[in-house]
Amino acid sequence: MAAVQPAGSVDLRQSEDQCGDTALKAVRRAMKTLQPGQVLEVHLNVAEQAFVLRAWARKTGRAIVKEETEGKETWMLVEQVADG
Amino acid sequence: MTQFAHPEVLVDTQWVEDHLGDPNVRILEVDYEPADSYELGHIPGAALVDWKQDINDPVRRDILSRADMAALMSRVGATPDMALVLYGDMRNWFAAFAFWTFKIYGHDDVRLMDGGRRKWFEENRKVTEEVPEFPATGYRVRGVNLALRALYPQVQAVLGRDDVGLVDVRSPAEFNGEISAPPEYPNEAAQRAGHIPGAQSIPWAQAIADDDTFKPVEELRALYEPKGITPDKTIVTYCRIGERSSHTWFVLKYLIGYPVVINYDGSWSEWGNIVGNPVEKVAATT
Repeated sequence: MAAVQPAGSVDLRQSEDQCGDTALKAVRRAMKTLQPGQVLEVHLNVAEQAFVLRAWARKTGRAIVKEETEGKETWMLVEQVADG
Repeated sequence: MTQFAHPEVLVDTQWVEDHLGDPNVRILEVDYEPADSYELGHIPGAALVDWKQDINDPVRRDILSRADMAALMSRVGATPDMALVLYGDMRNWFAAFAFWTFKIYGHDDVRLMDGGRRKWFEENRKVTEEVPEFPATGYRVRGVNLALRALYPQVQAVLGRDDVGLVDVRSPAEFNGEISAPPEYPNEAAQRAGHIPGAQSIPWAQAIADDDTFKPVEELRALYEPKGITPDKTIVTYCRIGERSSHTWFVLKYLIGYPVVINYDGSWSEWGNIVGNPVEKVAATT
């Protein structure tokens, strides 16, 4: 089976020193550029952000098609849906 | 290790877990973006405080009124004798802002959960989507302490005084004048970028460890004192809209224990927009 190729990428492993977007806001913005069926790659290293993304994906009907964790680092592929 | 000056204002995650359901404790999650945080999962029994709607005046730029404070406390089932334990999204900034606001409105026992929402989740503690309901309490505000708040004319009046220390807690890019706000927050941008003349740049995050808990008091002192932010001065903290500076205000006033620390919540989004105001910038080194 061919590996899923992400159509976009968001790296949340940076600090929030400037009081910018929440992690989920950044992901939602990136998802808007994707077509249904395309996947977004998300890098993060905060457990709370991973929880929030999983809960949001579940509530909005998006599938997390792949997730890997190594130490504190988590990598996810989130699939876009038709009305996303 | 030396104890914090006011250790009673800080509780750890285990203390909170041990007091879930304690009738003398009300746990409040203070969020900037509740839909991205509280609504997806929060500490069992925690009530939501929405920073934009609950801590701010709905029309003019100001903190909530005394009447709104009473209504908020009543809604979350708090009484004046209760311990309010605050935590929240965005690294506890808005929880610290709420702490500052509740102190202005005279609530005696307010505490921050060290490490905030991130630490609770990092430790894989129990969370829920269930929203608790509390009977209204008819809370009455006992008093108002405006000495904790610096307004623009007061900050302008103390410029250049050697008995006053200004702490700019924003990122270096904001302090240096490269940006006035991140592009995703255009409503917080100012006409001019830079900092208040004489301010020392001590970004808020330098006060916390990797797990978002506060650093030991010796390390905190070593952060501020070499930059002239010393207990013999009146200290004014500021950032862009007053929330990150509330975090540093908390550190200086309660953890290190400086006698006079005041938060300027108008911050750069006020100072950088006023015609004729003095502004300092740091020249690029490249």
